[in-house]
Amino acid sequence: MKKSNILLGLAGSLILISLVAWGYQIYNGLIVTNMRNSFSWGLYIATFAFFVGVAAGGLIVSSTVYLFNIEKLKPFTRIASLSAFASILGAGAMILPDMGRVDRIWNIFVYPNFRSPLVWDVIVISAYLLITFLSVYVQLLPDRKKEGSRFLNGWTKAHSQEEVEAFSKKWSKRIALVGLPVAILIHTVTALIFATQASRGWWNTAVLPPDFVSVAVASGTALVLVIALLAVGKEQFDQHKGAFQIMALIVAGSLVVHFFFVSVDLIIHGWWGSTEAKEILSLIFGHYRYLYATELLFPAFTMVLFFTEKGKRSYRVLMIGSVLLFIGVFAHRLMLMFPAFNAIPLSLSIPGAGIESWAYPVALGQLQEGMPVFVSSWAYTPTLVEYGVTLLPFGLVLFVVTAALKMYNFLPQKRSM
Amino acid sequence: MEKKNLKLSRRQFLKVTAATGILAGTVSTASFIRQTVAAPKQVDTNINYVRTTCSPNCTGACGMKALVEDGQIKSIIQAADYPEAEYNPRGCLKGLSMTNLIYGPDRLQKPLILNGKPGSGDFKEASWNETLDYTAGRLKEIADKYGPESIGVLFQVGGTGYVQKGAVSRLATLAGWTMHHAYDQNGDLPMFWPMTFGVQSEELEPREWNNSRYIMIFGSNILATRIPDAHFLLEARNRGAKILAFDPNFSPTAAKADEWIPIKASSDAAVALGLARVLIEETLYDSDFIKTFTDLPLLVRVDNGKRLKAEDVNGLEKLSDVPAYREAYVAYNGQFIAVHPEKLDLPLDVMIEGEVDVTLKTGQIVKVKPAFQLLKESLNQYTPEEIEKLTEMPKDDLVRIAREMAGNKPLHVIYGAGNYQWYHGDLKGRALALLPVLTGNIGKSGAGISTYAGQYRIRFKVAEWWVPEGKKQNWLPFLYVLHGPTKTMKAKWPKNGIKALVVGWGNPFDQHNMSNKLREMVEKEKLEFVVTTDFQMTTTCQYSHAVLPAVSWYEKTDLVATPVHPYLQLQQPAVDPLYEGKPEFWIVRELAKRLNPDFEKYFYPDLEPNQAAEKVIELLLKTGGPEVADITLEQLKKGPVRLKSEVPGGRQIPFYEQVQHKKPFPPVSLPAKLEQTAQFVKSGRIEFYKDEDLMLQAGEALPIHKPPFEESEYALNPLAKEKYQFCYVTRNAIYRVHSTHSNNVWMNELQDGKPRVWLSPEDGKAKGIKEGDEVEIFNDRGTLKAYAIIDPGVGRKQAVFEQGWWSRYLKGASYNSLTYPFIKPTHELYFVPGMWSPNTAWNECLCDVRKVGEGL
Amino acid sequence: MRLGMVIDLDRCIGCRSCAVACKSHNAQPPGTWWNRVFTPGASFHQAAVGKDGDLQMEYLPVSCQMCDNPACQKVCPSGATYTDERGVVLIDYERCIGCRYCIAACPYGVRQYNWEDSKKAKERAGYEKGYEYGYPADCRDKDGRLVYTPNRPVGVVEKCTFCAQYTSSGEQPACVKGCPGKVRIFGDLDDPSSEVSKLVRKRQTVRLKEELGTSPKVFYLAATKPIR
Repeated sequence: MKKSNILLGLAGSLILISLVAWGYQIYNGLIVTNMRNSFSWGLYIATFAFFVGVAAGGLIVSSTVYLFNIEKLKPFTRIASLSAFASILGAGAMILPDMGRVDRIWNIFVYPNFRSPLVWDVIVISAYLLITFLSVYVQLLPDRKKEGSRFLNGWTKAHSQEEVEAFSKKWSKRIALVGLPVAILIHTVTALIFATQASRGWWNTAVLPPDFVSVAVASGTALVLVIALLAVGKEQFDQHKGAFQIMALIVAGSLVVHFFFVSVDLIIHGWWGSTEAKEILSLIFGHYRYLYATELLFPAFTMVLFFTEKGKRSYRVLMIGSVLLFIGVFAHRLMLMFPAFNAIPLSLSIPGAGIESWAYPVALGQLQEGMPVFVSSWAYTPTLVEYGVTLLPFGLVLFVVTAALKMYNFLPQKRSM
Repeated sequence: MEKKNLKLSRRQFLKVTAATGILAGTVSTASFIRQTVAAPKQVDTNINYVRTTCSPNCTGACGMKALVEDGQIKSIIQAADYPEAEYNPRGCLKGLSMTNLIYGPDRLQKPLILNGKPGSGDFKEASWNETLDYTAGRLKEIADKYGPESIGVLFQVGGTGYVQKGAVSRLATLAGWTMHHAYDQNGDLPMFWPMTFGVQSEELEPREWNNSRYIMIFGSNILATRIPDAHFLLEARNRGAKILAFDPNFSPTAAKADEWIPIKASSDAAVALGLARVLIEETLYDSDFIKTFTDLPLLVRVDNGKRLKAEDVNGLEKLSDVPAYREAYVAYNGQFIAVHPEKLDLPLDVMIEGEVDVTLKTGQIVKVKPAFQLLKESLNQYTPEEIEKLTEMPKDDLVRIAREMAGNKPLHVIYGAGNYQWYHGDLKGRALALLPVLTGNIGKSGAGISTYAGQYRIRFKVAEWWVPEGKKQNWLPFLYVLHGPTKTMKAKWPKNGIKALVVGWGNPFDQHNMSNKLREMVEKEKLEFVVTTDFQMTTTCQYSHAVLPAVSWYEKTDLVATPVHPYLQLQQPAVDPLYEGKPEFWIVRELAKRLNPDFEKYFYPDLEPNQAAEKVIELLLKTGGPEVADITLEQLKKGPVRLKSEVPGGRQIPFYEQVQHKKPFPPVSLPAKLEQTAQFVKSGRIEFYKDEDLMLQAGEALPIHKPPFEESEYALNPLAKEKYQFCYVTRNAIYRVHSTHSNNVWMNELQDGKPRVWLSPEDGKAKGIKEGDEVEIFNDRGTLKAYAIIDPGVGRKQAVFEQGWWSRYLKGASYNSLTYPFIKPTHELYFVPGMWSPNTAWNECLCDVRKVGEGL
Repeated sequence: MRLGMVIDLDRCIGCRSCAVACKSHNAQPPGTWWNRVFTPGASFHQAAVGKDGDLQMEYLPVSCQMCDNPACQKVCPSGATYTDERGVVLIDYERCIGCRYCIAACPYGVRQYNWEDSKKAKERAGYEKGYEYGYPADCRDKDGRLVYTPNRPVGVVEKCTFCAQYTSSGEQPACVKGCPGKVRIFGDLDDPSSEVSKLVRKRQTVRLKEELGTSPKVFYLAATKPIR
């Protein structure tokens, strides 16, 4: 397939660019990013959180099939698992360049601190990576036996095709059911990385984990939807219309839940009117209003589109709606960073002077001619290097999905299961 | 360090004891720690500590110890070894970051000879021999052509290095060069001191602040300018002393005071006179004290304003034992008394108010009044209502404060440079001196009036080293170099003017009044040769023809004692001189022998510079007089030693002898001889009435209030009144010692590396200037750019600039290009170098501000 | 033993000597400050706060608060941040993986990251070739963890250690020795007779962001002055 070769080439070059950028970053230090002490997490962590989010789709779609017995979705469980595996691989890869000492990453495994949500996240993400891999593997077993593929497939030699198919069926279900809680956990735990931090008012809310789950269900399903749309193409769209409609409904439905959480969160932040909360609200509705509008309006638009009968049935609308959702979710991940880091935790009130909140300046960690060393806000915009490095998960996801689609049949349309 | 509290390995223990051998003062440093078994261990290294004295021109003279490893100073920390724990740990952020200057990028590495134009920075590196030969050759040429007195010498404050700076004085004297005293060059000489007390200046040692009950601070920002001593102020406050800060601006010191009294710029004299009026009106003054120690009972002729001399009065005998520099005046207690100027023994029934007729020897009958009567009459104009108008200080506060200060003794007045570095700074000092004098707060613990700016007072006799026997020194106030000679000047103007400058320990091309004029003089070759000795490439080095790399106080031996605290201390080399740097002593000796082979013998030719410096220290200790009696070099090597004084406990309380033992004023101001300074107060008393013709002409016989700019800026240019309405105030920031540390990377990190101008919110609004905007400060003489800070604590119509920035941070401009060398005629009445001399009035400068760039 | 510090804001004159002593003795690279002093409420240090003549100016030094409940330690995935036997929160510079989670977690903004090689950053300041400032020797705890080294590796987080290199041999931290106002008192909070314990017991103290439950071991005495 020529198209897939182009895509593989593209994926390869994205990976190459990102590795070069990462190499440059390793050589010079994270000084080549625009992160500084007062704004210490940026595009990398936002992208990581984004890919964790879209990784949910796979197991949610497949487990829906088994839990609610929605037959229409069945043809897409393989794609779902694949998208989940690729996304979580991308998320895991994204976290590495954010580590200043990626060479010491083994310290997490040798000296894990089990109180750290980051360690929890490492555990659940590793588990999810394994589960999604197994899910893909198990589902592909029968096809690969048919093709006579040997790699990781040797043990099936002793079994008949039927046995293998039964095994695949049985274990696909088992893995999907085990995977569902893990899928929910990766969002919960990723959200807990932020939500546990009482020093950052923007994060420190119990709504964050369930909201992460709802966004993940929406965006993860949307990713499956997009890959499925691409895989079946416009020509066979009608054949799977029912499945696409269900997926669109899942997306729209979970967005309803998401907006419910957002509203509750905004009310709780706003109602009491603490100075910290006011500061954050003034940041999201002030300085970052466009980004915040993107975060809210794009998915809202998608939600409306996907609820409409016409929208659900249109290839184009589903495609556009999903892309808008991805943009919105990416904005959401970025908005995790901006207000949190530009509201300095050490803010003080000086009642005698009528000052309710004064941010205690933080040293940037860098001295530059004509620039202050101490700041109380930092206009973070990623550098070119950061954009370059961030291509890594995109490249990986593209590569894994394209390669898998090219090598194996993920759409067993002729077969009824 | 208490051993019993430490469980260290023997090796560690030895190291710690060695390290703290110098740290004798910090006995209890380890008491917090009970066991170190669980504590982190450190890897053994060869670290040792060397104690020296931080000696920039703040004159704080703080004992610091350098952490030395591998021949490098790694860090600096306070030595904290003063025997009186109250003084520990002296030091500040500049001293702690000296490593940035010692090892910094501006450190001079090799001798330099100018290649291009002055200021161009185009130098060629040369050997010491070549540069010294060249320098000596040029100086000889100029001396031959214009006379040796046409070579001016700047070496800043003697007290921060008696040996090395003394060497410069020694050579200048031998060579017949002209010396410029830093006290007046820097504008720090508070002229009220010689006028009122006949001394150069005096101050309580800061530890005495704790004994005060009432502290009035006028234009002094102790918290920024005396960082190591500021804690005494807070301790005094917390012990019950009331602290009042009179300042147009809400300074850090004002913030810590009990009361901040914002007054109009340069209206301090009015405040003092208003307070004095209340003290007198309500008879809150100490009548016995003023009769015994001041000239207020002395009679003044109504007809000519002159004080009545005993020798002129019919029936009074001329006193036989009056030295030539004194004068016997007359008092009255029913009969006329010839007042002996060396005995403070007037009867207490002497008249201080009223008027009598006196018959002169000529038969003429004239009316006379005691000076007190005249003072009282003069003060009549300073009613509380009038003071409120002049100063914006509420009249009720004035009356209340006058009563409070009279009832709370000891009273201490701190007379700051923000107050006196004005054209009429002397009048302010004279007026403020009334407060402690009228209330009898002189010569007592915790009492008096002190100046903590400047600090040039030499603490012991230095002539044996500074002035080769039989030689005379030439002195010229530096202001004349810029201003040109005046007809009324008492100092001797070199017949060809100043044609060359020998500069050390200073940066006049940034720091001095009209440094742009100085630059122009070099550029136009009016100054034909400038040689500068420094350890850094300052702006002055840039304008020099030859640059001689010297060393910091961590690389040489010297002796230090300044007036701010009473300790004699050593500078000791912690490391070898960096690059090709040499101690100034060595440079002077090399220059001396090239100028004249006979000079070499005056500089211990056979000894290495540090050994020679030790010899000089021994000489100074031997010949320094009672203040250093019995102090040995060995003692000093162990730590700081308190200078001796006549006050019990060796405390530093000005005029203690005069007041407690009724010795005549003034005490000696070293290095001047008594007859030089006693002529300032011929009555032998604290003088408020000055009857010199010029004083009478100026209407300044008694302390009065004169508004700023009338006799200076407006006299120079009447249009200035309309055109320039902002006071250009150049104050000290915590980040620099004048221009030293201007290039200190950490100091610049702390202030974003930007020079600032502080404006009030009202003025900012009126001028459309916001925080962070780039602002131009300008007048007809110069311009300067800085970034705005809008500070609600800054008074109206002030452009407050933090002084000391090198031109490189000011786009090439000098912040001193706006100032003007005004010479007040009364400052030319006498000339004693650095004691009675015209000096710069930094703050007597008008300007305007405008926005030139948007802030961030 | 629980080492702690009392900072007497009444005595603090805002001179920043402590910050500079800290910077020097701990060899902090340009742009990095473990210890800061600012004037809360002011746009610039030592500018007045307030308006219309009702003004104030107080200073607040902030370095590591040495929390008993340190968020930075809890979030550290590799256990690089830990509390030693003396109650001092330290970072093992050989174990830190540079994830910067602790920077996000710390409510006090005291944690500083080595965005680049500190040696390179220092060299740019133009010191004499071969010159390096700061306490020159490494300091390891009893388990061999590297808690002080003059040049922290690129990509690790650093912060105040209560001057491990000095306090380990019974000396005071540099900020305490370097404070000309004698504002800082350092000692063992577990020892009821120590000066810090007495001050904490007898004087009203404030801890920063106490409502977050971090339980700092740095206590502030309020900048009160008598009203009379």
